[in-house]
Amino acid sequence: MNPRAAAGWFALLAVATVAPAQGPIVNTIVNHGPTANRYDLVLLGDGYTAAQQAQFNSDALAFCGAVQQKEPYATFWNYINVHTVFRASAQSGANQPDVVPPIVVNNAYGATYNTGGTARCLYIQNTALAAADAALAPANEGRVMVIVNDPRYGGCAGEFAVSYNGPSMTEVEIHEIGHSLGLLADEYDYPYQTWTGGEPGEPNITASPTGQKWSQWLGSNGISAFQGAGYYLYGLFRPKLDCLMRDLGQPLCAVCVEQLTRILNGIVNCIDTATPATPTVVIQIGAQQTFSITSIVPPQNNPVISWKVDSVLQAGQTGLSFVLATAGMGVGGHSVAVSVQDQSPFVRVDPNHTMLDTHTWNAIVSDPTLAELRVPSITTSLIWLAPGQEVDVTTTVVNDGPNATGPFTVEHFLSTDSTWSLTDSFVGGYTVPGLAIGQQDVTTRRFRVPTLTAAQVQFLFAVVDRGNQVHEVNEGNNINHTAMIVQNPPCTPALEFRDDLLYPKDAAAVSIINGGTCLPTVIARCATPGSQYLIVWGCSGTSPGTTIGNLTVPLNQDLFTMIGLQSTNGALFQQFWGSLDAQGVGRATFQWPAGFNMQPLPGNFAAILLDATPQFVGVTNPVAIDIR
Amino acid sequence: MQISSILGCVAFVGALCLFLPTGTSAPPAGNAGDPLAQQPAEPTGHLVLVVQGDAHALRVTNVVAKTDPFAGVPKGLTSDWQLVIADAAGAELGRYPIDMAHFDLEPANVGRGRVVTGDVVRDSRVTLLLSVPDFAAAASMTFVHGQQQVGAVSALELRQLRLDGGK
Repeated sequence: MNPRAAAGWFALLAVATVAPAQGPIVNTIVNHGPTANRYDLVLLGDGYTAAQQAQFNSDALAFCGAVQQKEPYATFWNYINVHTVFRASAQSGANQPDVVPPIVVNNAYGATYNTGGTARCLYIQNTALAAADAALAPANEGRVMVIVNDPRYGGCAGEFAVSYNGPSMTEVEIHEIGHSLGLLADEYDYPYQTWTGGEPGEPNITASPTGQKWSQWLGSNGISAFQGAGYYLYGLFRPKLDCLMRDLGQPLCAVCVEQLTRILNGIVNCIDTATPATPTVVIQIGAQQTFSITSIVPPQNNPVISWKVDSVLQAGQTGLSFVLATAGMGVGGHSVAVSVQDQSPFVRVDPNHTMLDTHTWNAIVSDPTLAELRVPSITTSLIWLAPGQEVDVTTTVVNDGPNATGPFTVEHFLSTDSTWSLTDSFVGGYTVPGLAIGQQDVTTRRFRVPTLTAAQVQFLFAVVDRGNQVHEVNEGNNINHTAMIVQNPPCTPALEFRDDLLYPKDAAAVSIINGGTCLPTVIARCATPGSQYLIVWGCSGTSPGTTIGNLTVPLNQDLFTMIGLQSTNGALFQQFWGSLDAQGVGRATFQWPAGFNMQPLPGNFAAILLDATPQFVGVTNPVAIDIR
Repeated sequence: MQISSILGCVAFVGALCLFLPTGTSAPPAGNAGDPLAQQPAEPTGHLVLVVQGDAHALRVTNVVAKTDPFAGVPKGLTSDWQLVIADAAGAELGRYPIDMAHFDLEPANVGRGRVVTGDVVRDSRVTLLLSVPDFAAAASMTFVHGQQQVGAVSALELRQLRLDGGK
């Protein structure tokens, strides 16, 4: 037994007594800026005893020294921070189960050669502990390099990149992070003969002998399509005759450099700082505001800077700062955006625009002479309620601006989602005569939840000054909402109008002269499938009504009832007779043509329900229809 | 539908209603989507999660809180595997793709362990680091693969993991 093996077995037996007492030690050894905008690489050590921490520190620095000489890391070195987390191992070195006798080492992360049966594959076994330790670094991008204190040649890469610390350490390390960071394939061509699979996913090997995958590089930088890659002698091709992903001591080829450059730039924003730091800037109209950035694009990459205001390119503005002159601009929100395009020669194809970064400010141009309406609260007297039920809504509107307002409207809408639109169900509103500076209006009004309202969470919106009658500093904060739970409706059949912006829903009007449309709607949620409805018209009042069997239709039958029945489902009374849909809803349209010359004609609609027999089984409430 | 599930839905919707903020929403002229989704509580820093599992299930085994801001999702990173962070009412605060490129996610290979080709390791056992924003309102984290939930961290577990983080 060689001395090292003997020491290993001894240590295994004594593991409980030699466990290191000290917790992980965290250091930042390369600090190029804030972790939120740098690629934060974490280095762990395995097989270093507490007494060998200086060796780990030295190995980590050697890695940094080497990687910053290698493209693309050299050019983008200022995009990278490097942190170390040192956990002392009880014993030095890595496990070697493939030697006789096997060497067993009590190290921190279980670094072991011959992983997966490949002698040189040095990988860690305790990935959970390694990940937990790496999480202690100030930040990380998920990629961790483990340096193993063992002179036997080896390395491997998966989620972690692992390397020994012998003479080729730095070359192995950079090769392995090519795998773990860049998702690059090995370009060497052993041990297999002929590839028969499809196109590999990695960017630096292809089954196509033309090298179409890296067509942007063909003919330059020595890039072509060389057979032998991805462990196969035939059938797979690599971009360059030699590359670090094939042989140590080589630079990375242009295809590999391009991939790594895109990944680094996908994480690091080349706009490092932006001033003002806040995303929203309020500027008094007529004033000027300077916007500026700092960029970390390497100067040799000739960054192109452009500024836009409200998406309009500002000619001649290509510097790190821009002065916005607000004279002549409209009051309200504007966007100011700066873009920086890194023109690195390393990247020729960039589908995810990793080399382009943009910062946008919301510039609010304000007029101190304007009012400013806001809706700090909207509350309801009920949270659980049913269609047809009445509920009180209390809305608070305040004028925060330096000027008083004239009259403005407050309108309420029910919506099935938390975004208001004009097609949401209008449930009425009121007019506020005006608010003095700093004054607030608190108004409670009652409304009836439309019968047609679906049983689900409904959002009740307060929309203030929809017609922009009051000129405000900020027109964008005039809405607020709350939520209510609408339960299943009662079984009582109902008739109401479903027209937008109509409230109450049981009274509609059309113009004798100009014509008009309204949308009477039957709601009978409990009706049996196949039920029909018939909407009838009358202009002689609703009481005492007309008896049909044991039902009383709330309409007094008259001439207009007869006219309506004769014209049912014609041009005026569209779908006044029809079948209820699966939700028990029947949708009709009353279409009054323009150009009539007659006296005003107030009237009513009511609906009768018929089952499949068909027997009359129910009647609805009346709704008013006013032809005027 | 069973009565218990109906009651569950009702309770959920009730909780949603009780916890929904009544924040000022988007300008009237705009129609830019759900203001709740647009305006999550600002994260106070970020969390580094240690995620473990396999193609069937993922879990968080360690959480370390950082004061530095979340660096954002790398440009171009998309994944069927995502972590969804939600508040106590179930409202989604954020959804973050998980880079699983280095793992063997074939369900039939679960339990197979590591396979080495050349010097590349593919492991059916997942261990990775994931950075996400540290939302003060975060009450749960859910792992999803496509439409399927493959793991979850409750508010209680999250609190305990945070307390244990870095130990």
